Amino acid sequence: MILELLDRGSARASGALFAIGVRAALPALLIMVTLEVVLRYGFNSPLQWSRDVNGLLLLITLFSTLPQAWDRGYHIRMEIVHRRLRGRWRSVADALSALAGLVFFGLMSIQAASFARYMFVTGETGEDLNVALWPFMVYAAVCGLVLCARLVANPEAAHEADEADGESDQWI
Amino acid sequence: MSRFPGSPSGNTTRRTLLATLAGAALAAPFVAGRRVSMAEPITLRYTAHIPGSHGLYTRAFLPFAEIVERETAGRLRLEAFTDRLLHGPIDGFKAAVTGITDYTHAYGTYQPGSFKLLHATQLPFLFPTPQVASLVFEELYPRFFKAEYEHMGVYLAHCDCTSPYNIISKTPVRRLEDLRGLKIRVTGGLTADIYRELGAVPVSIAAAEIYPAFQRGILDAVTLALTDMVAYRLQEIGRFYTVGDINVVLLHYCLNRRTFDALPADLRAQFYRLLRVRSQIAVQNYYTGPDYERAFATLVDSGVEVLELDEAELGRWRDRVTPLKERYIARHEAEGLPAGELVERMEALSAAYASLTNEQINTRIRETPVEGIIDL
Repeated sequence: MILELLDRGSARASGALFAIGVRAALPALLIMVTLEVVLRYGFNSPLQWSRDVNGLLLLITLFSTLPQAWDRGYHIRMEIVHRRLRGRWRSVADALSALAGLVFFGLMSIQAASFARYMFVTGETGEDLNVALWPFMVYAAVCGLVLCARLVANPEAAHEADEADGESDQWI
Repeated sequence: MSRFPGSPSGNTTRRTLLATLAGAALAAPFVAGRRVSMAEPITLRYTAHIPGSHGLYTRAFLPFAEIVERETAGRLRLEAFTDRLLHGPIDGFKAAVTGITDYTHAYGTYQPGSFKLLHATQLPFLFPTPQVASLVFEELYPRFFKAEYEHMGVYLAHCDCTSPYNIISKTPVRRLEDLRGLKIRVTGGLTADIYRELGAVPVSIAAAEIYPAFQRGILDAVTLALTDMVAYRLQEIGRFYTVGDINVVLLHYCLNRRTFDALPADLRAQFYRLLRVRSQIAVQNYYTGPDYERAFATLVDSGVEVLELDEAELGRWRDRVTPLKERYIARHEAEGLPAGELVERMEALSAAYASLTNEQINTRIRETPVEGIIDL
């Protein structure tokens, strides 16, 4: 029951984050880079804060799409080994993958939340962009937590994605 | 949602995962965390983003590490991790707060939003020499900068100072008008404001990316300390070097509070005094003296033309940036900060110390080290 709720809630959050990443952050990043290149080379008038903004947009894009990357099986795996595994061995391999992700992103989220507090207290801004950076750290922590929830609720995502895509052993 | 809810293999994987997590949760309280060990000899970790070949490491850190080990009779040692091995340049404060490092570079210029008074040291035409800048900063630190710096959760270790920032460019900069519209690489904060005031277009680019950016025309000029220009081989691209000695950049280093406080009291006091000596080592060994002369010779040997601004022209540059100082003071006074008093004290001390030789400065910091940089 709890796992079902976690599954449903985190799947919805994952979809929302994915939408932010691909419909807002990524297009904004493309526009910013284009604008910067045009201003820099065409008008000799580069934006001093563009490096900071582009870095933040890249961060949002990457973190927003992490949970979906897991659900759709787009994360990096040892395909050569994973596709050969069957039954219990495959379950154990999937559980270990999920566990590794859980440990890494769980710790990362905890650290990001702790850094966000530190950045808020110390008033940290970008080097050239006079904007508080702590909300972006909170965002990274939230994305990490949603991914952790997906890892627990849907540890076999890679397997399922393979099956949905019609897995074949006819790889070269 | 998972596409196959309740599938047998999915449940097995989930059960395996939950069982492992439950096991890890039960074991967690028995897993020992890192504790500060103060069994002598004590080793403190020094971390740096600079490469092991950089003068700040070879000409400043290494001699200092030797002094520390010798003066403490081997009770205290410094172990170095360079080349961004443990953290990047902008993460110095966080690395010290989280215990990744005990002693590292933590520059105020990389986190401009966290500081206000600390930026005053970047004001143009303030210090006669880098030695004096370092000395003045440390003397004024307890009164003006300590609250801001310690708010970051660290102690100030010491403060280096670069040689004056000058301009290396592809086209000659002989007059103020030559700067107009020039895309110039600057550090953030006040240095960017200085060049904006002078008519240039400040561009912020990470130090490691300066060379390709300069080569490809993203930059027309770079302002940097001479030794660093040569370290980044900018003389291979720039053809002119304009000497205006406009400003200097102070390089702050921080200490991990927990490890410093955990040192035995006598060692803490001794290390504190040695850190005062360290504040002049980089300035005298790397940013001035033979290394500086060598860098200058390299620049000239590479065919770079050195352009000295005459007094009249320099006067025009000074006049142009004067409002910057006034604006800085007004802005921070309005916030209730003693910016006016700080600038006045910096100017007065700079004038008083301008004629001091290296030997006189060294005697001063050894015999009457500044008190109160860290409360011992």
